[in-house]
Amino acid sequence: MHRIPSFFRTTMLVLWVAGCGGRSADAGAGGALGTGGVTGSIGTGTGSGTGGSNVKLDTGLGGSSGAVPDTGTAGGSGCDKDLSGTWDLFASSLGTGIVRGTLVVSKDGFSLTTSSSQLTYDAQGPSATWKHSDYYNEFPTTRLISVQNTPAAANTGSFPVVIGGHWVLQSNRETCTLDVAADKVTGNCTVNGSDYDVGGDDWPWDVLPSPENGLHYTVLRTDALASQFGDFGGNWTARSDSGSPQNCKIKLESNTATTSCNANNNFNGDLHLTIGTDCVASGVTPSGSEVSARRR
Amino acid sequence: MSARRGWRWLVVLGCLLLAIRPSAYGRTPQALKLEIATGQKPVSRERTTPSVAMLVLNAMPEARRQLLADSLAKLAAAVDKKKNPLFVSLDDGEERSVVHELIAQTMPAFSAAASLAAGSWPSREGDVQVRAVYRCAAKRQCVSLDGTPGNDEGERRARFLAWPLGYAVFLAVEGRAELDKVAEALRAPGSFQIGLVLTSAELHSLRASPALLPLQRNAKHLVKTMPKSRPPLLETLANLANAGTGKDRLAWLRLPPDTILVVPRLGALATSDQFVADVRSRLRAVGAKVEWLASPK
Repeated sequence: MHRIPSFFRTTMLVLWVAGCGGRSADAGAGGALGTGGVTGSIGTGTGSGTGGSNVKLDTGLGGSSGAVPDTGTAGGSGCDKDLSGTWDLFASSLGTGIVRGTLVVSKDGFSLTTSSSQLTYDAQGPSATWKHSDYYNEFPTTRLISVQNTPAAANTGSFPVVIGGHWVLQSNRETCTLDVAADKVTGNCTVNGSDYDVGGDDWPWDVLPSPENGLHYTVLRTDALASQFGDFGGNWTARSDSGSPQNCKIKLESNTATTSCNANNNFNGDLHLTIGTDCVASGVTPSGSEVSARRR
Repeated sequence: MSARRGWRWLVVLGCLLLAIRPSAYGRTPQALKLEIATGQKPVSRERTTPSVAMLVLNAMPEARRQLLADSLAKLAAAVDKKKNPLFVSLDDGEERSVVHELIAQTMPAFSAAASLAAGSWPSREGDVQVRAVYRCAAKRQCVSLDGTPGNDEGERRARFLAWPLGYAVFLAVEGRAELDKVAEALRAPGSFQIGLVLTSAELHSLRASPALLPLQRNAKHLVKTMPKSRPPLLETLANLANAGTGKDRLAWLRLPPDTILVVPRLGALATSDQFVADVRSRLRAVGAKVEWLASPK
């Protein structure tokens, strides 16, 4: 159970930085909400997964691609213009060597698959599904995530998934809202009860960050820079309303993304990501995990 | 045949043998290649083993081995202190910071070593398998690691899947003393690009050094005393403790004795031009005369 979560966390961290350009970083882990504003939970227990919205998952764990139409697989355009396509992906974690994955990205969403996990975001729904199993692949679990979006214009450059607008993400126990604009991202999550942060067994805490219950996170662009991430290119600062000095500085410039966080969580430290012109991307996360991906 | 004529033939034969001797990687028909096979096969996970830990330790200069030994000693002291029934722990910050430091220190090298030691590299779906061979099987796509990469998509994907070789730099250095000097220069701290630097001998056996003994002794002690709730760290420590024992997992990789393999970090595959520039500048600094046998750029 330790391998895949850290793989997904690493990859989602990179995706989030590349795609959204912002997260706050107070004690809880920052402004939640991965790429495209996915959040939420709804644990449906083990087995094949039932209920929920119109997720079109057509493969089991370890399947080839997931729900996202493979529209960009050919990778016809340069990665500085469009990251759509199917990517071979590696991530490292201590003591476990390399974990392999496949990432499929298009304007219709994305899926990220390893041998025992799959996270899918369907932008058409919109909805998201998180399937994972234990270390021995014995207990598959499916979590369906409800997503509502009121779109707003925000040019994400080469990142094909729409992320601008107002988002509401809901699960059995948590509700998160997120507003994404070209120069400002705000987010807030509330949890029923007195939980310290968003988590528990109906939240994919090992995939997405766990923001603190009730805090408001703000990520502000302080100046714009030329970047393949469109409007999101620039220097950003992230904070929460907790009054804590913890913060993150984020820079999206040209083909690189860097974050530097002073936080009491996994985001403390520096993250670097570079997307090469040959469609090979790689970087290092604050925990020391490394990731590399190459578009087929 | 007269004796004089016989000598002449012997000289010619000797010259021919010298010309084709496998003095450097990539010079002979037996040069290392990547063989690409298609068709579904089960994918196994790359494991960290004592062989992998041996590669990591061999890729460390002595000063770095000493640093790791010191970190392990600090961790051992923290763990022992906690085991004392008279000690009341208020927070485990000290232990956590040592662990964090250890992780940051070793993870890139462990990743590169584990992937290198695998010896074959399948895609996640198992539909493509790449392995290192000296002679490709008939009708299989074959990628030579000599020179710089080509533009063929199959080759480029194979190089990515088999990144510890496909994105590596291979150098030939003349003379044992020069070999060690060049390897040390390449291992100097400060690179965010270089993952492993290994001479051909270091692929197969543990290099002895003064720091090795306390390092492995502390690793062994920690395996015995640390709480079992940290399985990845414990596994890493056990592998460090047992490095140099067991089967040679790189028996398939036989490089000429004058060769140095420089593997990039996994997190630096997108910046292979910087990786090559880093290798080049370190070689320049030491004034080494080397031959570049293979390079990703």
